[in-house]
Amino acid sequence: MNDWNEFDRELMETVTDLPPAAGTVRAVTPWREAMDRILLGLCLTCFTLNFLYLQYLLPAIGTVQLYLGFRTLRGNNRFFKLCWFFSICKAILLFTSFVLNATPYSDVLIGLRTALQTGIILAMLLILRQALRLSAAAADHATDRDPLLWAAVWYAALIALALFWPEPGWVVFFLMVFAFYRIAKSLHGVTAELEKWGCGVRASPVRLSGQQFQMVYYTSLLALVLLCGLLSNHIWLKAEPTEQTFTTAEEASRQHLRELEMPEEFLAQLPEEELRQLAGASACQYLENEETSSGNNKSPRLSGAMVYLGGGTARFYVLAEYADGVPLFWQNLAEFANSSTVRWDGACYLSYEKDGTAYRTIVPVQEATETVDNYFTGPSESTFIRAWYSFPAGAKNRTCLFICTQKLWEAKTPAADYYYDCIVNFYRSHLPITYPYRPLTGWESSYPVDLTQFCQFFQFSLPRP
Amino acid sequence: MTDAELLDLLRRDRTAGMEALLARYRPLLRYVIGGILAECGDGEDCLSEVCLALWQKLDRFDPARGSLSTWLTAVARNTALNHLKAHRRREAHTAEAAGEPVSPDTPEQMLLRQERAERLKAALNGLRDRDRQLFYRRYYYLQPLSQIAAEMGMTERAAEGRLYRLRQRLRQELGGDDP
Repeated sequence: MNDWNEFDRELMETVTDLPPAAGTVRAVTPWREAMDRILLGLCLTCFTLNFLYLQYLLPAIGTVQLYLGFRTLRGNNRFFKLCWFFSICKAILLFTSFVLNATPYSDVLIGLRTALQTGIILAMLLILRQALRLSAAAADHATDRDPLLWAAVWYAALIALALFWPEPGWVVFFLMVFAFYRIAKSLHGVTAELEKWGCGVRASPVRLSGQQFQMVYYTSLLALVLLCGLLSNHIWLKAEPTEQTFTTAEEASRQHLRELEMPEEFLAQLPEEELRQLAGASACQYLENEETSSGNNKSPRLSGAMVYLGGGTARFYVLAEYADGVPLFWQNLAEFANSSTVRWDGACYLSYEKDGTAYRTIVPVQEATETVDNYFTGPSESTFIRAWYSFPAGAKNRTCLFICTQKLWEAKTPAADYYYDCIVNFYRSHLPITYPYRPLTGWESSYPVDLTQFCQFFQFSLPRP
Repeated sequence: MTDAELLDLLRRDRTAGMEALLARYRPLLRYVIGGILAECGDGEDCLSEVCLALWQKLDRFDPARGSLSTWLTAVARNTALNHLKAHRRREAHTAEAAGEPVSPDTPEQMLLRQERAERLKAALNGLRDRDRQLFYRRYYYLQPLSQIAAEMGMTERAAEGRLYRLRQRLRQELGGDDP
């Protein structure tokens, strides 16, 4: 007041005639803002709503509110300080979890992380109870109610319900809502208690304003999540520059395949190691996809070849040629989905040009046996061969060659002409970021994808002995 | 015990009612006084003065004009402010002013004061809740900047900046001296 000027003094004198409204009197306390933050934080972190990303947004808001609330009250007693410490741990844990969720490691220690988050809330409720009891005693006030103990009990009930009924029906859902209502009511009871003696608590000074802290926390969290999401959703493959030089044996194999009527442009896509495998091929059939499922100019041009190697074994090649300008920087998936035959030796190659240099890279493939529920035939086990890939930005003439060996028949010669329907799906993610990170899983992907399907019927009429 | 029950008790048994009132509102009174007298530190003396003032003025409380807590806050604030002024005068060795009767406002001064209050009320109604709270903390509760900052979760610098902008705004709306 010593440094006040005339205007300040005038304001002070004038406001004497304008006592604050009841709302302002209620707001001007050392505890209300901090405790409102804590109670809001506890409410937002006690319950999970799994839609519209609320399972991420609400805990993030709640955790920051908890930290800011406990930061203000940390100087009152050691229990408040302990709560503040737990709120810091919770904020760090949430930050780490959310960033990890944007990466392929989103499932790492997920059980432990969830248990820690839950345990911290329960611990906070119990420690906050002690903190308030101690503060009430310091203010010469005997507490006759114990709302935080009830909140802890109801929260434990909520955890039990979530543990024993992870997929709740309506009854369990309503029980959970009731438990949450009881928690909220108990927390409201804390405010009622503080109305009686809360003016005795002390607020501690801070070095970073609440608004600034929230801005720093949310901005850095969002930036890291976006960055990790963008980096994770691009599949990094190390490509080597290629030079089309063939050995004499490879050139002979190329000539042989030409004689079996494999088109020159398709032949040009076969890597050297494939040419070596096809040296003894006895038949070849080449087919172009006439239609695609998406049927637009963003769909790749698909073509395939079946090369008969003898002994009932054939090697299938499906080539996807992407038009320039189609975004392929994010996740793509090639999937051999036909389940009726035995196959092995799956392989996938990417080729593209960048800055005038041709590159080729091998894409790792994964084989998985899954139960597929068919509407007509019922559930059956199918083996899928899948390859995930991304093209670098600015790449031209991009192709993906998907390869697989099939055992067509066990007998030395087939009884009749052989027919084989070959299905390879090429998926392309629409989104640069999927949160939490999930690899493309074909139709079951929970985010929008483009599908182009190679679906052709190969027919062999082998020369009879 | 609600405020209505408390007032009823005060009407029936003034001593018991006063005890109940102080049991409930002593922390609030102490808090209001503590902000104003933070620099001189004789809050307990002032609290006794406030208790005496409440005892004397309790009949003047009109629930229709505002809540009990608002009225108690006003009594505590004005008593603490007088206490502070007296303390400063003592410090400045101007004890002669302490017992000096204050000349009442002339009708013209009262009118001017009333007009200023109306304009300030209109200006305060236009503020956001947080700014209004900041204003009252500073000019009504006379809290030190460090206390305002801590209780509102701000740094002192941020509180100072916000208060500066608030003053500028009020200066524009009310007119006043340059800083």
